Amino acid sequence: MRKVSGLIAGVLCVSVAWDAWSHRTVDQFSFIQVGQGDCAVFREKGTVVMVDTGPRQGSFDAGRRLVWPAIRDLGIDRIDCLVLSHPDMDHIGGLLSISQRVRIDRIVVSEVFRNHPVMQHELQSAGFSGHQIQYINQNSRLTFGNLRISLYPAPPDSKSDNDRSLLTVVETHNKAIALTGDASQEIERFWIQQSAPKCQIIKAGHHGSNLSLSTDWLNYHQPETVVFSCGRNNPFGHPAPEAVERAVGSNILRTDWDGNITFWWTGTNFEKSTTEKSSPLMKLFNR
Amino acid sequence: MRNELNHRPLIWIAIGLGCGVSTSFAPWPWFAILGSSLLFRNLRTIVPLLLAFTVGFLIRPAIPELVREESEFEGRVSIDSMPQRGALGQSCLAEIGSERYLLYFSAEENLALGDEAVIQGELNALSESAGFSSGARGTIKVSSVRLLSEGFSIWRIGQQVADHFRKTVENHLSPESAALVRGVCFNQTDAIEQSDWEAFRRFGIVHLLSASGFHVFVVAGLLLAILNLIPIPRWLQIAVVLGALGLFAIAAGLRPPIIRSVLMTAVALPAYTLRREPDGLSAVGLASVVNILVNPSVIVELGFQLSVLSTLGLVMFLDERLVSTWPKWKLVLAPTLIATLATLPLIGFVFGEVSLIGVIGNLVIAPVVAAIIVLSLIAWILGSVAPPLGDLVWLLVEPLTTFTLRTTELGGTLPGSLIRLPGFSVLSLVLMYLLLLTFWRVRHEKS
Ligand SMILES: [Zn+2]
Repeated sequence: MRKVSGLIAGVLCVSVAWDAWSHRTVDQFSFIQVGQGDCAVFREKGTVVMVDTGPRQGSFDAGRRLVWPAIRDLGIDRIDCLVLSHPDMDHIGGLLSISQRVRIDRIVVSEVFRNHPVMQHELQSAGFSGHQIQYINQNSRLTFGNLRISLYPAPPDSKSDNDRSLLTVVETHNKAIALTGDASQEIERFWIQQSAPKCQIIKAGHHGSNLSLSTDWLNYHQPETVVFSCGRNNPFGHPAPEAVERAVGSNILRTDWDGNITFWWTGTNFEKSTTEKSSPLMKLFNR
Repeated sequence: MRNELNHRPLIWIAIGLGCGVSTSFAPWPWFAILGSSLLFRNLRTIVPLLLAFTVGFLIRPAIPELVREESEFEGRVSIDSMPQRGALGQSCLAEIGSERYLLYFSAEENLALGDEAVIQGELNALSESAGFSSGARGTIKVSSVRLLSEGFSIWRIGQQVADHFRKTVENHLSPESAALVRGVCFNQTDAIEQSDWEAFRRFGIVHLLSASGFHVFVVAGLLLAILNLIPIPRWLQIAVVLGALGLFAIAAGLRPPIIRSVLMTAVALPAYTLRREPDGLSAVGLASVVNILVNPSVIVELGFQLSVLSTLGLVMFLDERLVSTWPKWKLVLAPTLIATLATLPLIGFVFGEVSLIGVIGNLVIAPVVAAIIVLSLIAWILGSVAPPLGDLVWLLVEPLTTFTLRTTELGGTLPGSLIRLPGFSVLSLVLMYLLLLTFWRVRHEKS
């Protein structure tokens, strides 16, 4: 009996230490594997910013199945700011499930979507209203803790919701990351004219569609890394081989095959890790 | 405690085997084995433990190289699991050479376990949320099938029985009730509405929607409780229950989780009611060993883990000497409560949230679901002998399903139903179960 109590006490100490260590708050940012959709999360000194929430389609809810387990693993229980690029279900579908599980303090949306029926419906069903939502109608700069966000709305005469996507540039430590939603090449050129901040890491627009990720955009940023956020077996053929071709020269990462792509701050630089190669036991529990 | 465990080599074999096959998925089983060998430094435990670990290590499932590119497929396959109906047709596992694939084919196709066939179709990647999927490396959407040879006829008979049940239920109940009855009785969850899934999830009773070990045990317990009222010998009671469970397994399309649960109940039940050696603990050990040997990748199946835990909880805490002094209501409620609590830590670990209201949900709904299962089975069997009698019993089922659906809808809207847990490690999970173990130990010594 004494031996068993000793064992339990031992396991208790080790597990508390282990949990504390593995869930310590490290500055990092991740592109989460959400299937065909977008979701990126940034954390510095405990402040959390998320851009898009992953898809919801039929019975598949990435917010519950993929985003929540991933951010829970990172020890995130609160989001200071959530940017929604545009109201397509592959970007805002996860909002409902995520908002049921973690506190979201503020939501940032482009002014052009203020009266968009889908956007309004999703925000309302998740219980957001009035002062919690900030509408962006001009190039803006917001600061949350140490995280700095620059927001660039698309030109007001853009023809589709995709082309009205909000450009979000997140700056954390020595990196700037550009997320363009589903905007096309034309809008990318507009943002170049607006002198958007140059970034070391960019997410390929529209999940790697051939109509996004222009050579101009790539030349403008000269990115170290290009991330494609797209789903396995997606019916659109994303990422387009031409778009991937254009990104050659940068480090290419894909959420469909690399899994969750995370950059950890080591104190001097960011170090990359992906989940698909390491297959932790957690991921293998499934029904 | 040491003595208790020293006399149960099957427990050690199960642990060793489980750790051995788990080495495919994580590094911690190596530490677990090292830890337990150091803790119980005697040959009686170390020899079975290490032997089983070696066997487990040798049969550990390989992590497959996943299919990435879409392509056409034509070739010979052998069907590796009982086809299961879903919203989009049927699905099953199939082996091509030594590689496994998930097959999707139309509802009209007549394929069964053990069949050999030449198929044509489209080879695709697994979806992001598919998990390990029994080691499948991709999916094949089948467009045409040419059957080469059939497997054991009993598998096909099971499928026909399940089909017969489906048609009977659909003829007698409203669509929503029929969907629920098919799900809870035979795991046919293809017709359950998305909104019902959601409501069941919010009320913390989503596991009740598909037949599992918990169901089998509830059915067995309820049958036993009824049989207890009839003055017949214990062994006959057990024989009747096991006979009924065998029937249940065949009618449930002989799907692996059902077979596993019936097997587990079959070994645990005599121990529970007769309290003879080998006892319940060893019985669970044996059932786990058989399961892992037959299909090593069950070790990462949540259904397997939950059924091992709930059965362990039941055989450990439903001590015959205690149970015999309990009033009837406690006998009905205790299994539900124990099974729920025994699985709570693992559910919290995997899903990051536990439903406290689910404990209440289970207490309220589980007995009703058990009644639905028992009455539906009676109605179905009676109906095929004497249709008017069957119709009469079906009339009783409809209000029960309506009650279940409406109560669940209401229960899911209650505030504070879900509790979020911070992420914790496997080690903390083990700790929680060790604490439960000491709790059992204390109770055990008292009784
Ligand atoms: Zn999109």
